Amino acid sequence: MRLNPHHLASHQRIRTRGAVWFLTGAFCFVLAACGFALRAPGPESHRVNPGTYSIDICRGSCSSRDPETLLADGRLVLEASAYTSSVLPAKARDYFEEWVLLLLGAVAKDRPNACFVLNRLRSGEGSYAGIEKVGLTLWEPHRADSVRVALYQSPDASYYAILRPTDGELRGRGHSYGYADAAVNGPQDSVYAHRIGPPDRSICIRAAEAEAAALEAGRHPPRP
Amino acid sequence: MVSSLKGSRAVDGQSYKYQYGVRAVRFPQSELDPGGSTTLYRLVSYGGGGEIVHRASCLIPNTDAARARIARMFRASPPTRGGLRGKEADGGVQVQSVPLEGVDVTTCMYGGEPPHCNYAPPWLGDSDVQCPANDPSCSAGGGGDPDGWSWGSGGGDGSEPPPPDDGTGRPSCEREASGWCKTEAVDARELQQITERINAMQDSLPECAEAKRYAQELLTQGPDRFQVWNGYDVYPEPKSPTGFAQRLGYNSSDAKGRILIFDSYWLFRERTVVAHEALHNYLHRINSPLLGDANETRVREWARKCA
Repeated sequence: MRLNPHHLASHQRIRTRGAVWFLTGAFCFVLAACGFALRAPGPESHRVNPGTYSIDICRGSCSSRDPETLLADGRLVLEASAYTSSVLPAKARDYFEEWVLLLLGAVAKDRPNACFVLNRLRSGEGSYAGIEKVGLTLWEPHRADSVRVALYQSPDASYYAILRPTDGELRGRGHSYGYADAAVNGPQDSVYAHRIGPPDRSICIRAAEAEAAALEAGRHPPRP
Repeated sequence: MVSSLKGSRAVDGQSYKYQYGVRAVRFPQSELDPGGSTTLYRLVSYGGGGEIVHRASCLIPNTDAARARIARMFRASPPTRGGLRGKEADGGVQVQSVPLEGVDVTTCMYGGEPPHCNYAPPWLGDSDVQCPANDPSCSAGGGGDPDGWSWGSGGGDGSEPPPPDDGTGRPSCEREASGWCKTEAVDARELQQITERINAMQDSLPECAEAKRYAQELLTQGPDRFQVWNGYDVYPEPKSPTGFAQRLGYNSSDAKGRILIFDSYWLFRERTVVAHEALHNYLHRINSPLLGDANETRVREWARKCA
């Protein structure tokens, strides 16, 4: 018996001729006639500034920083270009490659352009917010006016924030999803982030080094 | 150089919204980078309702000529080197321009300017792509369709198509009729890896020792208590912002009990994946009341200490 099966649609014959891909060439002249070109710089509200952001993740509104609603808080560092973990100090690099590899490898494809440090303040709320304390990750466009950033990835669960930029702030939703034993059914979270400075990757490096030390102690507790 | 352009397109009248395909694109020698470097080209095209109509990606030569060629294919102006189209003097980045190395293009399928794209003109009927006679890449490769695309399996019903692949360079898994990746018995190498990972689990913490013991019980029950799938598993997940999620391992069960199932690729590359699933099995075996995020949180916390 499968746990929590998903049912993909059965394959059927599709109407290939009418599908949109085939129209591309046909209306090339329409696009040309309309002066179609790459998107020009958009309104201010659509711009995301790379930087270091203070981030709050809440159940309900994030406006008051009410401890009753705050699920996690921390720092989110968005950079303008991707890098590899090889440029990091050895201890931090080893931590990310050993213990947070699914974010670094499966999500960021070994080319992260963001990192985060989160403190999980509440649990048991049906949210994976802050379950990963520190990680290298990827931020990328989501639809036409938002960005998406993964903050957790395990074999069977994930957490993504979808954020829309507004005047130096990012506001949006946090989405938890899991599967089989990790299935969750909570509501979406609110996410609020405001820029506090230029991208500062060292925040994540220091946090990873601290986590590595704590993990080492936890894996080999002193014998009584 | 022939690049494999992977894409997805919206389809009508189906229980799934997207279909995935591949098309070969040939770049002549004159358009190749002398140093052999390539860059990732990604395109997202929106319809009038803000919906993604199609998405495509491929590795192309890192030259202006190659970028211009593929931009012509998609009826877009050639993007600039580095992919930071829209980047401004103060370092701001348009959200449509992924801050990754590569070339990212956002277009409107039917004209307009994202996010304000036009709807499909009603007078546009079925039509094939019209390729310029002097552009061999426009019709190069591909199988069944006149525009060179070979369309494969249907996708899900999420709001966006999935990423064309998972970045590992391997194909999607082969799926059962139910939509799940076909799993198979572990081979000797996979069983050895699982066995080594289980036997290497720490004994110093009680939870780790117990999870290890239960996992070793599975080993003694036989190799059929473990399965793998090959190829990446990006599955429809309505709650995911992309409409899809990637699965890397999970617990399943049959009449004999639990089965731990892994993406074979990550089984060999990720240190905690076996411990993670072994810990889910442990919580199940002790009838833990922990569910959902509480279950996953505990497993995540322990997995790093146990692995």
